[in-house]
This record gives sequence, structure tokens and C-alpha cells, in this order.
Amino acid sequence: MNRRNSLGVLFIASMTVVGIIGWLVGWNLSGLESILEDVLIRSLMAMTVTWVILATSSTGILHRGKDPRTLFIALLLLSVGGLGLTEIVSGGLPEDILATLTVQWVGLAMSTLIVLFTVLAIITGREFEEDQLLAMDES
Amino acid sequence: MDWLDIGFWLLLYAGIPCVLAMHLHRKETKMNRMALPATILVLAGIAGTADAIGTNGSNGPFEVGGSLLYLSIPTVIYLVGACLAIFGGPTPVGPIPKSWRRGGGILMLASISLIIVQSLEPEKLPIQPTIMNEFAITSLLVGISLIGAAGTVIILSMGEKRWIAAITTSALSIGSIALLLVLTSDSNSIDSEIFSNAIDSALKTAIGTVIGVCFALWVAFHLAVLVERGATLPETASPVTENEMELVEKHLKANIGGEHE
Repeated sequence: MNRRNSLGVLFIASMTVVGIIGWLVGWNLSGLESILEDVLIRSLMAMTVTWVILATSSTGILHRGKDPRTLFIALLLLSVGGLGLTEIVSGGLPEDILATLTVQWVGLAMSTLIVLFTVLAIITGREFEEDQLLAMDES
Repeated sequence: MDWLDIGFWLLLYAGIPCVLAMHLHRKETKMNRMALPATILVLAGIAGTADAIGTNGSNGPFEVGGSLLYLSIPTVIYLVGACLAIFGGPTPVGPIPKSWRRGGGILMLASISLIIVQSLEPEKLPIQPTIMNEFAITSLLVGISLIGAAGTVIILSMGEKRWIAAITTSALSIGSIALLLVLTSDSNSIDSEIFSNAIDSALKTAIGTVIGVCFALWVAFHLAVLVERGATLPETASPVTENEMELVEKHLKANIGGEHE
């Protein structure tokens, strides 16, 4: 499978799973606008947090001159802008959105780790693998 | 959202990366020396604001902490089991008992069972479910079903016929979808309405986060390129002079060119 085909299949597989879970919770075309709005709000929050983390994690290089400082300020302004856009789109930040999103982000990160480590455990931990040096010693 | 909430979340999302960056600084600078006091201040600030917010019934820091702890128990057991399964057997530093692999596999299965019980009958566990239990467990299941499906495609597209790995990731994905189906179906012990809302929210968060993080990184990358484009480059070495060129050519001819004495 070439790269473009793989990306296509990856997209189709992801959309299929999204479709199945969406069907389970009763997503339909008539409610598409509110679904997209909610996705947009979460997307804007993710952007805001990503820019804040990128900006604050560059404090270690601020003494290197004008450019890191410009980048730091630009990222902070972007994050403030992202928060403002969220406020406009959602009509006021919901009370517990950050709490809910934090739990969900950690849940998603942990699910990624679970799948990744499962693959690693299966690929690396095969029973027929043997130590080449020990095998030489035995023969 | 009041000022205490703003302070808590700002310290968590801005303060922690900031002090981590200070600690990772390689040279002894003012910034590096400030790292430890800044870390103490940030941690004290997080604890102080969380304590001041308290448990007022809504979803605050304590509820988040509780659900993260609740979520981390099966995940940590799973990861420890996976590490035993990965590293059991021959290693570069000597053989680790092969039975550790089996032990790791058992731990992984035990963790999966714990996730199933946490999803379907959390009240029967010795650890009581938290107030945000449904958000924690549904995001884990939605994540596993999405990433499991994506992982299956990636493994198959690698073309090395790793069928067992592909079957396992697809089984994880299908199993998670089956659990989500049970959670949304009308059952006596589970409030399907609450779980439907939580799954809906988790799915929207998963899609929104992927789009948001990709876009944010793309913008940050181009911003960095734009800012750094005008930067003055440090002075490089002066160009090679005619004399140096002649000297090098002479040496090359003497050593490689095949001139015999």
C-alpha cells in the first residue's frame, strides 16, 4: 500500500469508527450544526492550550535575543485570541469546560498509550525469539 | 469562571510547562537558578487555589484529580504488564525470565477486566467511582476505539504481515465499541442517558482535539519560520584563499594523484 492509499484508508477507517459511535449516541444530519459548533469549541480550546504550552515552554530560550521573545509574545497573543474566539463561539465559556476537557484529554492520551504498548508487546514479545549468543553457546 | 478557577488552570497549563522548561535549561543562568523556587511557587499555587475552590459539587480540581486517579489505575497496571511482556526474555543486558512475559500478559488481561468493570458496574468496586467517572471512562473507550482502528490500518499498511498485532488492535477497537454500545443501551444498572452525553462529548473532544492540535502546531511552525527568517546568522568561517587552494591541490596531487618519488 503506498503512502497516499494508506492515508486514505486511515481516514476512511477513522470516519467509520466516528460514524458508528455517532450512530450509537444518536447523531443525525439535522443536528449537524450543533455538533460542528461543539467540535469547533473543543478545537479552539485545544489550540489555545497548545499555544499556551508552546509559549510557556520556551521560557528557557528567552534570553537568546529578540526572536524568541517575539515568538513567545506572538504565541501568547494567539492563545489569548483562541480563548476570545471560544468565548465568542460558545457565547461565554461553560463553567466546567476545562475540567471536562482535561479529563477527556488524559483519557485519550491513556488510550493512545494502551494501543501503542499493546502493539509493542505483540511485535517484540514473541515466544520463538531466542538469544543468539546463548544459542551459539549451546551448539 | 471566577479568579480562583482562572488561577488554577493557568498555573496548571502555563506554570507547569514553564518550570519544566526552566529545569531543562542546560546552562547555569539566572533562569536556571530560579527553577526550583518557581516550581515550589507553582505547586503551592496549584494546591492553594485547588483548596480554595474546594468541592462545591461542580467539576473542579478535586473532581478532576479523583477521576484521573480512577483512570490511571487500570492504565498503569496495563502499561506495567505491557512492559513486562515487551522486556521479558533475552535483552542486551542479559536474559530476563521468560515467565515474566506471561505475567505481563496476565496483568494486561486483568487491567482490561478492570476497565470493563469500571465501565459497566463501577459501584461494585472497592474504589468508589468519582463524580466525573463517565467522562473519564468514555474518553478512554472512545480513544481506544479510534486509535485501535487507526493502528490496525497503520500495521496493515506496513506490509510485514503482522497479522496478530493487527487482529489485536482491531479487537481492542471492536471491544471498546461493544462496551460503548452496552453503555448506551437501556439497562437497569446503567444510566444510558448520562453515558450517551458523555460519549457524545468524548467523541466531539477527540475530533476537535485532533483538528485543533494539528492546526495549532502548523500555525506555530510557520510563525517560528516567519520570525526566524529575519534573524542575523552568526559569522561563519572566512572563504578559502588562493594560497590555501594551491596548498590543498599540492597535497592532493602528492598523496592521491599517483606521483611517485
